[in-house]
Amino acid sequence: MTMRRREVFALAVVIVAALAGCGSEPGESGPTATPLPGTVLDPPKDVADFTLTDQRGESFTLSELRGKAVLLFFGYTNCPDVCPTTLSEFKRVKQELGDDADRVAFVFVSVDGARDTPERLAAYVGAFDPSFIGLTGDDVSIRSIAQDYGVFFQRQTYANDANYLVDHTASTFVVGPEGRLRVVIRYGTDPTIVALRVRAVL
Amino acid sequence: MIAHRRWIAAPLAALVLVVLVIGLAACSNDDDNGDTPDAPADDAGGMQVNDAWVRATVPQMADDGSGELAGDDAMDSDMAMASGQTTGAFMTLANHSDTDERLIAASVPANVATTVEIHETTLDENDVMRMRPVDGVIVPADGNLVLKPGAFHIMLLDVQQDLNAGDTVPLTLTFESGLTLDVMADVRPLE
Repeated sequence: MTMRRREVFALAVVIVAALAGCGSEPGESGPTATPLPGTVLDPPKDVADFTLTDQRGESFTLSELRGKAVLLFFGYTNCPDVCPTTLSEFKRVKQELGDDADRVAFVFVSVDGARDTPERLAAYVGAFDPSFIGLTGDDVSIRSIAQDYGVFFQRQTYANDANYLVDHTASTFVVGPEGRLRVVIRYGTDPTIVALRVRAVL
Repeated sequence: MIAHRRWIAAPLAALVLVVLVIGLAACSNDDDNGDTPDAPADDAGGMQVNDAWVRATVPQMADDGSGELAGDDAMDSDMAMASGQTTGAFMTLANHSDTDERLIAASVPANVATTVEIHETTLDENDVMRMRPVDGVIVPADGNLVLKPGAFHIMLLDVQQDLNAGDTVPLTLTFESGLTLDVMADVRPLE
């Protein structure tokens, strides 16, 4: 009898392990190089404040968002896949956050200031969520912000000058309410996990 | 005693196996959300296309309708914006033949976009997204090729008009074998 109970216990352990394995499986098609979904910076990284132009054409300084967690994504509006995918996922993160979303800002920083005018950003970001913030600026400003966050971007011109693509880092950067960089989350991470990461810095 | 234990362990092991298989099956039911194939759409020479769609373009600023001649600067920026507009087309290609088919080109009417290319998006270990034109992509014999965000896809460059959700874009696919296939792709919202 005791033996049988032990076997049942073993079976229970196996089931629990199988279910746990399920939970960590990133169901989406995104890459899964890192075992942990998201890199927590401990200690958090100091990042410089910056000022760019928002989608209303007005000057916007990141520290205006102090007191809120900020999700930063670097992309460009002509990007056909990872940028719209990430902004769609931001919508889901916002839903997951529920009431906590009031203390979170979602920011899209253009790495294509030449084409991404404030008007274009307004149409683009607005198509996802009017509360999302779109920022653009000149190449020098964007370059120094990117360097601070460890973001790579490079224009690839191949057909004609108008049709260039931009290679860029596709991670999401989570800045804490105190203004320091707290978490870096890889592209394609499940919005539920992103929401958990964000809640943890609130 | 020992024999008795073995006798219990064998069915238990089988049960464990069954539970694991069910558990893993439950795990994998979540891939490719939103990609549920519609009714099989376009079919030719053993090649079938399902679930073809194009991402809506970023809405252009509404024309003020004045028809007034803008200054040179404004004209230039308008033209640059119109000519730089790009978007992607995505679908699942199913090759029911026993030979590989290589997709080498795609086209759309010139009033939709003037340049169409096959591209591949890759993400490296540093999470850097890169997109490059490719000469072609193989649809394996008795296999599928999924053109999707973050992987192989068809790029529409120099898009000539706003593509809005609900529109339909006719696409012609050309394969190395000479096979061509006309596909109607639904425009889905930008988001």
